[in-house]
Amino acid sequence: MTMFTRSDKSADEKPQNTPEAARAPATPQLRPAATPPVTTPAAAARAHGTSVIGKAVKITGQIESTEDVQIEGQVDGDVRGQTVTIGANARVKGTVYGETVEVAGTVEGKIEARKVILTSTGHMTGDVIHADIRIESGAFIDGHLRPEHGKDAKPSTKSST
Amino acid sequence: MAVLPLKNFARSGRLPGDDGQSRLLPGLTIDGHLEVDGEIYIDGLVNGRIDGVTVIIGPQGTVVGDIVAREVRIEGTLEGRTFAHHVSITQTARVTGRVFHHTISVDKGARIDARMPWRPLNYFETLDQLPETRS
Repeated sequence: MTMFTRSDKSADEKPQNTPEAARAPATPQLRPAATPPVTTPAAAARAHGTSVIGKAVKITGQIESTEDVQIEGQVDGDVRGQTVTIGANARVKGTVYGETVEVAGTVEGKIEARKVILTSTGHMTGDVIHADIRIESGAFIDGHLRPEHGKDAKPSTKSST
Repeated sequence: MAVLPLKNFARSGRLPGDDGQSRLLPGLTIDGHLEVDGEIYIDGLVNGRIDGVTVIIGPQGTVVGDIVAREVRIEGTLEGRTFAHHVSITQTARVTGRVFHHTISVDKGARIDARMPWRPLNYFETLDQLPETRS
C-alpha cells in the first residue's frame, strides 16, 4: 500500500516540478520504490560467504554451491563447492568435489579437487583425485591417490585454474 | 550470526556447547532431505523436505518442498507445505502452498497464495508420515 501511494505521488509530482527532465527519470525512479530492497541480485552477490552445515544437521541428498561450504554434520550424498571443509566431527558418504577440499573429519567415497588437505584428524576411505595434496601426520587414508585432477578429458567442469 | 532474532527459542537440549548455527547462503543448493536438531537459516535453495526445530528462510532463500518444525519464519520464498506450531511470515515473503499452523503471524506486504489451515497442537506430534495434500 505505502509503496503504491509513494510511487503514485512521485509520478504525479515529478512532471510539475521539473517538466523537462520528467520523462527520462520517471521510469527509473519508480523502479527502486517498487522492488523489495533485499532480493536484488547485487545483494545476492555481496552476501556470499561460507555456508555452514552445522553438527546438528543430517542431509540425505546433494549439496551444490558456487561458494565455500563447511560441513560439521552428516551428509549422505555428493558435495560440490569452491572450498569445501569437512570439520572434525563431520561425516560425508559420497563424492566431494571442489577447488580445495580440507578433511578433518570422515569421508567415505571419493574426493576430486585441485588441492586436497588431509589434516591429522582426517579419515578418508576411497580414492583421491588431486593436483596438489597435503597429508598431515595422524591422518588415515585407505584408497588410491591419483594426481589426475584436470588432466585427462574429464566431464568435470572444473578447469585447472 | 547475530542477525537471527529467534536466539532464545528453546532448543532440543542436547549438543552441549553447540555454537551450531547452520546457515545456507546464496549460491548453495541442496536437493534432498535435511534433518536439523536445532536451528537452520536458509538463504540458499533447498529442494526437498526439512525437519527442524526452528527453520528460518532468509530474504534470499527459497524452499521447494515440505517443512516440519516447531517454529518457522519465512522472509523468502516457500513453495510447498509448512507444518509448524508457530509460523511467522514477514513482509518480503512469498508463499504458495499450504501452511499448517497453530499460531501464525503475517506481516503487511507478504505475498501469499496459500491455504492456512489451523491445527490443534497434538496434530503436529503425528507428522512422521506427512498427509497427502498436494494440489
